[in-house]
Amino acid sequence: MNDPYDGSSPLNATEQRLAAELTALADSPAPTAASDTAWAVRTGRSRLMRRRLAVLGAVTAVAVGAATLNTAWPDGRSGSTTVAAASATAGTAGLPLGPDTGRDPLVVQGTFGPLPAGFDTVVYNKGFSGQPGMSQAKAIGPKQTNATADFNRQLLFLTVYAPGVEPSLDSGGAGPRYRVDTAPVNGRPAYWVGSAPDNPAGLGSDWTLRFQTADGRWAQLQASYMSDADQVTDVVVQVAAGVRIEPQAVAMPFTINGLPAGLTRAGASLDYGPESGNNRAWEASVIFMLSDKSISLTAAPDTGPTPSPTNPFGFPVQEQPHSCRSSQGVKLCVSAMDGEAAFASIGGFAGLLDRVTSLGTDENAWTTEVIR
Amino acid sequence: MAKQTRDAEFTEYASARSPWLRKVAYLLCGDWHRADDLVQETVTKLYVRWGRMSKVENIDGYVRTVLVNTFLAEQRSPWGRWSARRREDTLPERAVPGPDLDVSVDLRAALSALPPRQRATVVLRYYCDLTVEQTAAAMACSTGNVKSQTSRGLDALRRHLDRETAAAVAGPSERITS
Repeated sequence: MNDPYDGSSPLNATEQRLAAELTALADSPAPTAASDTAWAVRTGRSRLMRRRLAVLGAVTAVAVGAATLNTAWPDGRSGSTTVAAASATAGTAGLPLGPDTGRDPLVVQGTFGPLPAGFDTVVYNKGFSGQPGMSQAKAIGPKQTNATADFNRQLLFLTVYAPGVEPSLDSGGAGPRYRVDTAPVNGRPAYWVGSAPDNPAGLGSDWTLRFQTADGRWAQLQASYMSDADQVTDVVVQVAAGVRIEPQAVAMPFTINGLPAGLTRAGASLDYGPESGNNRAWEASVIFMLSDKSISLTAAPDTGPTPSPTNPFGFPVQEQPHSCRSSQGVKLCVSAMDGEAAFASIGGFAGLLDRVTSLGTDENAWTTEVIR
Repeated sequence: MAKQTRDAEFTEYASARSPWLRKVAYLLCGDWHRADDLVQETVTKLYVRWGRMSKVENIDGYVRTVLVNTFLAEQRSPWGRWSARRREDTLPERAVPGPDLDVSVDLRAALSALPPRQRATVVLRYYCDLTVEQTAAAMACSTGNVKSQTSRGLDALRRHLDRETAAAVAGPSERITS
């Protein structure tokens, strides 16, 4: 069978034209480059330092967590996909959740239950998908199995659809997708979004399970960078069986004493676990809008002074305008892409930062009564 | 001294290869500003792993893989989508004058309509001139997946390419515009 796309044949006229046009497009006039090698050196050094600190901290945390927590699959199964004992600073075990009282900017519709071994970081966000009010959850696991690249992490994405919404099989032009029915999840209908009527594997390297929840809504669990070697179908079904579908407020490590006039909530997130941003144990953020300008508040463990803003090569350092202070072991920062002047009407960065009170690094002291 | 040597070697490599990476990034994302962000993140990741690069035979191939995976990860990441959306809101791409502006804009639009993995496959196969096997390795997927993504991508782009071919045959005065 002659395969025109197997790479062994000379390029046909269409392919030759595409190659030529791609080259022309890549060579087209462009703005001055803004990337900065010196900035990469500085940021890379910072990441290396934090990674080393995180490794030191994780040794202690895992030892404590393994002794005090006992998380397992709901059916108690064992084997290669059993759930690891979560550490005190990783996974969902120590993450405080509460009812939605309207004071927490991070209210999610679904949260993870027990997770497989190696899935030690969860990320919850709201308002980041381009659809206001929509929340997402992500679990970050071990490195991709049998991959050439060593930096892809196994990922699980949880999405909860609005009541009455039947998720579509439309792939947006990526090719046909099919409903491949599978065994019920918690006694309710479930199916894979397959690449063929009898193939539950999705397009690309993703696997997507949709399952109906107790209140009739549909939820979706998508696995990326996972394969049969990871028992992906078993893992996804087991995780789906353990998710909790109901509005829950995710506790944040700070309170905000009222919002300046004109500032509205646009989104919020919490990364929780060793794979959080910049290798910190966690990182929380809230994004506000003032008219059409965004301003963000970020909180993370204060790991000491950041590297000097000067670099060994004398190049200027690019940094987004920001203002920070530390309190109770937490570094609180306010920043904006458009700079502080755009927020003069609320008193600049201090107009927001001065209203923030740190609750420290102990998750048990965090609150869902964030904006007071 | 070792750190200074390491940094100097890294800086020499990154400075020399950034323009090439920027072009690949631009074809992936269709926006020079986002391309700069992708290159910035890619070379930062490269710095973190620079100590192990002496064991890598093809550093260009490695860094290209990092770039593609950074691009694809951005498509998955809520943070990335947020950043991209804000970038689109605040930094609209301006047309840059050039001799083949119509063709470039049309191809850029056609590329942007492709799903990210199809776009990455097309760029790796036809701009970076990688084989199916090399593309599969860079994207951590099967060769069959590369072939199917290539086929779909080419089918989608063929409308654009056929139109350009027809326009070239017809001549400027009869250029097809719809």
